[in-house]
Amino acid sequence: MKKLLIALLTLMLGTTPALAAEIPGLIWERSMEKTYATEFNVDYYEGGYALIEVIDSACYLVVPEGMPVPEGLDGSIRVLKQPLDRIYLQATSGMALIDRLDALDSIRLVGTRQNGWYVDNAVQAMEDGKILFSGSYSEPDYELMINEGCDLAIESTMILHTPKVQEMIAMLGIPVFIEHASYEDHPLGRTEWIKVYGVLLDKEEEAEAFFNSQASVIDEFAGIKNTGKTVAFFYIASDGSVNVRASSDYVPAMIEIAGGNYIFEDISEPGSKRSAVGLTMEEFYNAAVNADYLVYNATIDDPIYTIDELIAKDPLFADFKAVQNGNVWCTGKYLFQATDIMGTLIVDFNHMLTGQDDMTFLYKLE
Amino acid sequence: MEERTVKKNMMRLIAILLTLVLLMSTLISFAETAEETSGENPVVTTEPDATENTKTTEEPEVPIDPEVTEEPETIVDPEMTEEPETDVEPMPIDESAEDELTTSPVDNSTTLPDGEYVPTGCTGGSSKVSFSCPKVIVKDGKATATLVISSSKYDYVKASGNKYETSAYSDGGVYANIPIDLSTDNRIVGHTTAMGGKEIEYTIHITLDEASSGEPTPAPTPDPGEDTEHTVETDNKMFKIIRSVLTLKDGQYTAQITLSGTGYDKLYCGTAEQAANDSANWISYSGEYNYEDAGEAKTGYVFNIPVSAVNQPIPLAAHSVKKDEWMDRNVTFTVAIAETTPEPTEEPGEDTEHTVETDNKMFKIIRSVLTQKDGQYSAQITLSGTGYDKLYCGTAEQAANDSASWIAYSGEYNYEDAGEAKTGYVFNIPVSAVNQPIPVAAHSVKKDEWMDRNVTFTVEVVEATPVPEENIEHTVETDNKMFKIIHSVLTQKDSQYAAEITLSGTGYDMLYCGIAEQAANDSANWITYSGEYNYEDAGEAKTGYVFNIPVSAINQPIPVAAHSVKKDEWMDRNVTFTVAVTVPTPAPDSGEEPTATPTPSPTPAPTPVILGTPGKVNSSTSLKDGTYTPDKFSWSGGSGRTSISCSKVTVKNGKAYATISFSSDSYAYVKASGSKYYGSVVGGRSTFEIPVNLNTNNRIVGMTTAMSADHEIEYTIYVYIAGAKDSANTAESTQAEQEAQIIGLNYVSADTIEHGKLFKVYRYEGGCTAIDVVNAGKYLIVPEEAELPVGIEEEAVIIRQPILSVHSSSENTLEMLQMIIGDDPEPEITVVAWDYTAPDYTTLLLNACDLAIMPEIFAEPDEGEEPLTEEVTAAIADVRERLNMLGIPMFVDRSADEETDAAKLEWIKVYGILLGCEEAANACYETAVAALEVQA
Repeated sequence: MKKLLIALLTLMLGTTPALAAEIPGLIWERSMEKTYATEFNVDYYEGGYALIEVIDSACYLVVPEGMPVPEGLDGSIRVLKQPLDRIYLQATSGMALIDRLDALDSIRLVGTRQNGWYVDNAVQAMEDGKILFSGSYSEPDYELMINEGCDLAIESTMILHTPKVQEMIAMLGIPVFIEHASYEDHPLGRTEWIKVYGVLLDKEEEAEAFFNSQASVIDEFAGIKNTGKTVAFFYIASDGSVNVRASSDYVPAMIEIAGGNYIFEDISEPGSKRSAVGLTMEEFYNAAVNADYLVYNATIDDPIYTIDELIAKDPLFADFKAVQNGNVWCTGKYLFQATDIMGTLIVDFNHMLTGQDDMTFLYKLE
Repeated sequence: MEERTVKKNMMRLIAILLTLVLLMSTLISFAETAEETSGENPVVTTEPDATENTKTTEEPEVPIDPEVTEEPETIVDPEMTEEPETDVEPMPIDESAEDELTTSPVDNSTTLPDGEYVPTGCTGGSSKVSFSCPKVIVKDGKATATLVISSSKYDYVKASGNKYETSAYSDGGVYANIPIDLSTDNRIVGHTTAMGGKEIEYTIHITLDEASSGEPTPAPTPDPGEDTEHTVETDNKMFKIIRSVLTLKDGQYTAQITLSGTGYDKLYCGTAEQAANDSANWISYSGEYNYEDAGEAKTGYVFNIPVSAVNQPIPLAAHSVKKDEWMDRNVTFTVAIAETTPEPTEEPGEDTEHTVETDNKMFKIIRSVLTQKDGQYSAQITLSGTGYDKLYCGTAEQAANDSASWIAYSGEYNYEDAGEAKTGYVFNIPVSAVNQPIPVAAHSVKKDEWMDRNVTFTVEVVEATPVPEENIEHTVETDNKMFKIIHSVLTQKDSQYAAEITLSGTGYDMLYCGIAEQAANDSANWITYSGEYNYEDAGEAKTGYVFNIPVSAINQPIPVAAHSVKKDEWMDRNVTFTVAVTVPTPAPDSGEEPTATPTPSPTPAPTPVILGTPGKVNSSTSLKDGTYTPDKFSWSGGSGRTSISCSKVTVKNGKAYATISFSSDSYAYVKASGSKYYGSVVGGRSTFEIPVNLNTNNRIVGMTTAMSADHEIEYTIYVYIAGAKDSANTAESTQAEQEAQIIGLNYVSADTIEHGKLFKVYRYEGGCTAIDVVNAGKYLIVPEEAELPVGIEEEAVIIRQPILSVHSSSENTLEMLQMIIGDDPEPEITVVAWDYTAPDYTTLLLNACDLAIMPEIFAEPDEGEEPLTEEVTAAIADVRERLNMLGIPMFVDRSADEETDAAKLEWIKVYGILLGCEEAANACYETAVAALEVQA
């Protein structure tokens, strides 16, 4: 018993990298430094090899062009041979990040049609036929993937719902990479995934530089005083219920960083890891009637432009303090693909709370 | 910054450590106890648990939920974003309302015969919780309704003095069976567990008609097109309806409403927001109505609108001329629900468009329905007040002496005038003549005296307003600027088009279908204008002539000669009616100009996706009038997230109407058979009744509001009722016919198979051939261009020709294929050996394989045959599934299982069919069998 305890403690306190990082035949150099992301780790080895560990998902060994795949590699480690330039990108959140790396030419196929993209360069690339639509996550166009020589499928966690599809892609010899950026609690954790794409696409420096520029936005807020203002972030679902973010979600985190207070101190969908929570209008009313600010989440529902439109959704809104004071805002549709500029949304929130104009994602309802 | 993080991480680490130590010590003590008791070593098993447990407090769990990724992966899928099971309770939150609500017993006896009925109506609930009633059961003369509540939080319902617990309803929500007093308001109490438990009062109202009983009793169709007695109200004083004719046809209401003025020139069935983005469905005013209000001459615009529901507010956006803006309005058409048996004589008949005037200001008619029957007019008129209680068709003098012919008022009519509630008496009077004053004596209550009055009913030559429901969406153009068509209604009947066109003026008084030269000599076929149409053009009042002309062809110019009044001459003109073809428009791009540095664009305005209206279908059927349950219903189209079901088909006057229902409450209308149909939303489903051509594919378009903009989606539906069409073969079918039956295909014949015992070949109309392999499925070989009924893939594996790349895991097959196609096949057919035990799917894709042939092991074991091992079964199932995922049809060859060599050889025929070279294959077979006989 005691031996076990000691062994465990040694493991915890030791400075050696995690077990997964030990690869026969490769010499460990260093681990990637991260600031906010908790869902991945990257270890570098001599010769330019890199091991990406996605927490609770899989490990990927990125093999540089012209280098051999190490012998005796653990079968659970998925091998990604560079160059990776015929990618099927199903995970939409990756597009903005890859675009920031100026690496859209490494994407050949996507799982979203042209009209579903809010990243302008992606729309243009599809327009130009440089990027093709290749079916959704559940029904990818395998034939196109094969004929286009697809060398990597980057999937969102949606793929976990169709394990057979994941298996099929793998059977066709295409490695599947599942990204977990949406699991990051910190808004900049999502942006920090640009470093993963930097490893995959051999653009590490660019990734680091871009991330630092976004992170610096946050640094500016490090010392700010909380305004004491409360903010509700929500939309009305088609069934009339009110959809809000769980308190642990990244949006509440952004509000806090920006100097505000998310109106729900502790809300979550019981027994679920969902980041969204459905409330009845009454429940929402009770919690948010006195919120200082209402922000309408138009990433899923239609954007609204006037307070009257909000009241038309439910007359009870007329009683809300924020409505009466004209402090109602709405997000743009672009938001959910804007993984690259999460910091900018924090700035927006801060500007909202401090009465400054000049925003990127938010606009005030008339 | 970095310092902070490090510090934070340190704190975290210490916390984890402490937790771990604590946990470990607990574990150790637990383990030791366990060791003592069981003697087993629990450490091995508990160790990983321990680490994992500690981890979960810090790190998120293994991903299970897709919604966690909060981006909607496809914005095209509305359902994805919907929160399931979120119940919203009705507004009144009176926390103190602890008292239990009760209900009193209702009289649920009914004169209806025992049986099951499908209600024609169920109203009640609130905007948050909807009630529906899929059936009413009458037993021993008592009616019980199955009441479905859209929210699953309702655990009991109180009705008729009792409490009824609810159960989960198969289509969502909960239900309870409660006694119901039909066709009247029933007060019930529902209890919701939400908000800490609460009882809420509701009034429900369920109506039945007898035709809905289980057996298809021919329904006495509720007089299509007749004015339904009703009142109409709006939620806005500025938006006043002064006149409304509500007609019910095929279960669908439409109304012709007249607004009090001309401030609104367009209406839209929906919200102002939707209206702004859906110009295709704007409803312009179809005419003007002149009336007198408090002695003042006024004009109101007349609109023809569909009415999606009665007795409840429906959203109707109105376009203000002044502001050039859409306004949200609500209109409620209240239809009086007939108590007990409605008096059929009350039915006012079809309203003839008219105006009515009296010669006395005190004798004011505010509402009039003029009907014509057997050449005789009668009118239901409503006076502005209750000052006159009797009328008499004639003079006051005659009236005083002819009490037998006095016409007493038959009812009261409540209305609003300048914000004041008023009541007027309603009279049914014969109208001896129209377009001239007729004497009507009126009896004053106050003076008890008969007064002489005159009433003039003015009937326009022809309805100035087009019949909206028949109109086929189209545009119309002429080749001459002076010959301008400002309005056109195109209809189709028995595959013949006709149009009611309105010219911009009155310069041409006759038209002729043909050229001017013919017209001059064929006066019998001159088409005179049938009416006038008043309209406004750039602020100027104008009048145009209306003509009804046959349309010999659409989408191409047709010659129409026009007779100029001024010159008294025929002029050659050409008119083109263009009907939108139902090709789905590709979804619009997000449309933002790309810029060098990508900056997030503040939400490009979503563009609505609008498709053409599917053409008219022939909904005629030989089925008797009544209600039917389809024998088969299938559909295709859309993203697959929303499913469509069809609960019943109603046949009325020899026409079939399908009741289809989308598994989403966001479908606002369906375009089908040349028209647009509005439905109802109950229990999260949108339901529509549309004309349908039975036993064939019907293209329809559904409009969902669930996306960022109104979005029309094309679907194909297939409603099959055995014997509905081509009923010639309803005679007793042979066994072969039964075996050959594939719903949607017309069976022709079966091939004669000489030796083979394990396959059969059936032929169908349209060049389709089915190969039925014993215990290995039915395969339908389909010519390249043939259109198949949707859903047929449920009946057979579809193999579409041409087959150019065959991969086979069966040696026999390879041989036979080689034999048929020879060395130099035309067209080039690739035949490749493929090993299912070591499947290489990449090769299949690279070779563009369009048919995979598997050996006999893929067949179900025959009777008495030893079943396969689990391992083999699993491997086979896996190959099947993967081929299915890759969209490659699979055919199972059982030639090896045939007992005789001749039978084995006959499978050559099968490959002839598959590859579309039957002649060559049959020749091969004949040669091979002959050789076999020689050997013998």
